[in-house]
Amino acid sequence: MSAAASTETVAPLLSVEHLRIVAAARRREDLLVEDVSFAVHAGEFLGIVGESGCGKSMTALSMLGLLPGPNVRASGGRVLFDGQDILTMGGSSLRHLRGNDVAMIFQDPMSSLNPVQTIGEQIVETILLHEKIGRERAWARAVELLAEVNIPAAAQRARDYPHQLSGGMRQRVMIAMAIACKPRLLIADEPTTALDVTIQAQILELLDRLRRERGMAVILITHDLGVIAEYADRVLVMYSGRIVERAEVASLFAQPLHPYTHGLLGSVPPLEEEVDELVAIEGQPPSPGAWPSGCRFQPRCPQSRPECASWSVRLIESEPDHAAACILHEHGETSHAD
Amino acid sequence: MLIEGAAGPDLIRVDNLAKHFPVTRGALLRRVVGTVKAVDGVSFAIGHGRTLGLVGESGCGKSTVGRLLVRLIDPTAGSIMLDGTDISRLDGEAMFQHRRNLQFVFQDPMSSLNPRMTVEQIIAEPLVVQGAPVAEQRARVSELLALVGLAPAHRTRYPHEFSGGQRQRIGIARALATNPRFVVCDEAVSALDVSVQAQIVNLLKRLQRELGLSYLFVAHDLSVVRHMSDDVAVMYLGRIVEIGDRRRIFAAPAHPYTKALLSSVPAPRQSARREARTLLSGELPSPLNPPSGCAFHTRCPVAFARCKVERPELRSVETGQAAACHLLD
Ligand SMILES: Nc1ncnc2c1ncn2[C@@H]1O[C@H](COP(=O)(O)OP(=O)(O)OP(=O)(O)O)[C@@H](O)[C@H]1O
Ligand SMILES: Nc1ncnc2c1ncn2[C@@H]1O[C@H](COP(=O)(O)OP(=O)(O)OP(=O)(O)O)[C@@H](O)[C@H]1O
Ligand code: SF4
Ligand code: SF4
Ligand SMILES: [Mg+2]
Ligand SMILES: [Mg+2]
Repeated sequence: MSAAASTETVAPLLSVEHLRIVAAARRREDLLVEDVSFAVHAGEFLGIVGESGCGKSMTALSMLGLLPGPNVRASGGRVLFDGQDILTMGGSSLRHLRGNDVAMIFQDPMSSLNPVQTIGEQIVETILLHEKIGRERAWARAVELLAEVNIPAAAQRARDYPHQLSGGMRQRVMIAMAIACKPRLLIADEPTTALDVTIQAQILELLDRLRRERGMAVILITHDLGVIAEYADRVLVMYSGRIVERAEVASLFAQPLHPYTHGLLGSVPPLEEEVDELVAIEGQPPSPGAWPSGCRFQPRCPQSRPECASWSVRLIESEPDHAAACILHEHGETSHAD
Repeated sequence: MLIEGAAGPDLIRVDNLAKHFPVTRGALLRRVVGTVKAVDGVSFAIGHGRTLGLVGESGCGKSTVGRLLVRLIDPTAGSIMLDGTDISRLDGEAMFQHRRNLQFVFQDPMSSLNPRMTVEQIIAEPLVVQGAPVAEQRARVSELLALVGLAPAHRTRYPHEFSGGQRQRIGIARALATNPRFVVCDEAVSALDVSVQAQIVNLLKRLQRELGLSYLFVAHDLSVVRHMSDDVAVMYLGRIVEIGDRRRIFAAPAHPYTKALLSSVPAPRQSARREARTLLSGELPSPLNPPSGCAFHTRCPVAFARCKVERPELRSVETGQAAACHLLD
C-alpha cells in the first residue's frame, strides 16, 4: 500500500495515455482498445480484469512493443516508460527495454520455452544477452534464480528439458527468466489460468514476494476477481476495449460504481456465504466491430436509458482514486440501489 | 448417509469403483510398463434431484469417475447401481435401456459438437439413436431449445455461429434430449467468461429443480462447486479423501488436503481466511508412482511416521462427513 499512497508525489514508472489499438480487417478497421489511460508506480501491484476479448492482452503487449503485426497497431496515444514513448521506439531501444526494464510472462509457458534446450541453458542465454559475464558464472546465477522461484533441487532441475516439468514448474521457470535481468516492471498475462488452485496460490505468492523484495511493479491480467481482491493494490476493469472502472481494490469490492462491475461481482458465487441464485449479466460481450455506439455495455445493462446510446463515454472520478465510465455518475448518482 | 446405510433409495450408488489404465512404452512393440490407478476404490451415493460436487487437482481422477458413471469406459472393479440395478457390467441391449438415463456435458462445447451438423441435428442425435419418430424429434427439439434459452431460429444454424455460452446451452439441450435422470457436468462452466458462467450455473440449477435431475458436478472453481452441490467429494490421486455435506466440508473440513485446497482459494486481504491460510508446498506426485501409505504424506503439513506406511481408511467424522486421515482416529 505504501506505493499507492505515494501516487501523488512520485512520477509513475509507466504511464499509458489515451491508448488506442486497431486491427485492420477486410475493408475496415476494427477498434480493439480505445482511450485507455492509467499509470503504474514502482513496487505497485496493478490488476487488470475483464472478460475474454476486452483488450487486456493487447493493452499489455503494447507496453513491450509486441503488438501482433502487421494488421494490429497502436493508432493513437502514448505508452511512456520513464518518460520515453514505447509506441515510437525503434528496434534496438525496444530490445533494450525488454531486456532491462520490462518483462512479461504468459498463460502458456510451453509456447515461450525452447523444447530442445535445458531450462538452465535457456536462463543462461537470457542472462548473457544482458550481462557480460562468463558462462560458468551465468550458470550459477541461473541455478540461484531457479532456487529463488522455489524450484526444489535447483542445480539438478536446471538440466531438465521443459517437457520434464509440470505446468506450475514451467511457469516458475518463466518467472526466473523474466526476473533474470532485474526488470522494474513485470507484466503477467493470466499466468495461473491453466494451473490448479494450489499451484496458482504458490505462483501468486511468489510474484508478490518478488515485488516486495525487488521493488518491482507488477501488472497482473486475470479474469479472476478473487485473485485481484487478494493481491492487487489498484484495479482496472475493462469492457469492450475500454476501462469502465478504475479503483483501489478495497473500494472496488466495497462499492462498485459501474453496472458492469456490479454484475461481475454478482456472477461469482461467494465462498463464505450462500446465495440462491447468481446475479448473472444477460447476453454476452460483443465482438470488436459489433460494438454499439455510446456506452458499449448498454445492451446488457439493467440500468440503461436512451441517452446511454449517444453518451460520450469517459471515466468520471466521483471519489479520489475511484472512477467509472457511466452516465449515472455524471451528476453524482449511484449506480445501484441498495 | 453418503457412505453407508442410506435411508432412502439413491439414484446412483457407487461401491469400490476402480479404473486402472495400463501405461505403455514403445511405438511398435507396446510394452506395458506400469498402471495408473486413475480411480482406486471410490464409493459414494447421489440421491434423486441432488448434486455431488467433485473436486481435486488436475489428474486426480475426476473425469475418469464421470466417464465410468455414464459407462463411456468400463470399470476395472466395483459396482455402479442405477436405481437398484448394477449397470457396471451391462453391455449391448441391456445397457442400451439405461443409456438414455445417463448423460454427459463436456467442458469444451466446440470439440464435442459436430461442426457439420445443425443445432437441430445435434440436439436430435440421441433421439435418433433411441429410434424416436421424426415428428417427435422435431417437437422435442423445439421444447429443448426453449428450455435452455435458445431461440427457435437457432435450430438451423451451425455451432461456429454461436458464442461459448450458447454452445454450452446446445450441449446441455443435447444431454437433456432423452430425458435423463443423471447428468455428469465435467467442467461444464469452466471455460466460460464469468458473466456467462453465471447464466449457465443458473440454468443448470433451474433445470435440476424443474426436471428432478441428479448431477455429478466436476469443476476446479471451489466457489462454483459449493454453489452447485448438496454434497462434495474431495479426491487425491484416485481416492476420495473427504466426502460429505457441502456446508460441513466448506465450514469444517476435516482432512488436511481439503483444508489446504480451501486455503488456496484467493481470499480478500485482511480476511480471516487469509490470515489462517496454509499453502501447500510441492506438487502432485506422479500417479504412476504414488507415495506409500497416505498418498498425501509427501505434501501434508501434519504428516507423521505412520502416514508413510499405512493407508488411512475413510471414516465418519460427523454425521454426513467422512475423511481418510490417521489424525482422525
Ligand atoms: N491478430 C489479431 N488480429 C485482429 N484482431 C485480433 C488479433 N488478436 C486479437 N484480436 C482481437 O482483439 C480483441 C482483444 O484481444 P485481447 O487478446 O487483448 O483480449 P483479452 O482481453 O486478452 O482476452 P482473453 O481474456 O481471451 O485473453 C479480441 O476481440 C480479439 O479477437
Ligand atoms: N485413457 C487413459 N489412458 C491412460 N491414462 C489415463 C487415461 N485417462 C486418464 N488417464 C490418467 O488417469 C489419471 C486421472 O485422469 P482424469 O482425466 O480422470 O483426471 P482429472 O481429475 O479429470 O484431471 P483434470 O482436472 O486435469 O481434468 C491421470 O493421471 C491421467 O493421466
Ligand atoms: S452508461 Fe448507461 S448503459 Fe452504460 S453502464 Fe451506465 S447506465 Fe449502463
Ligand atoms: S494420514 Fe497423515 S499424511 Fe495423510 S492426511 Fe492424515 S496426517 Fe496427513
Ligand atoms: Mg488475453
Ligand atoms: Mg478432467
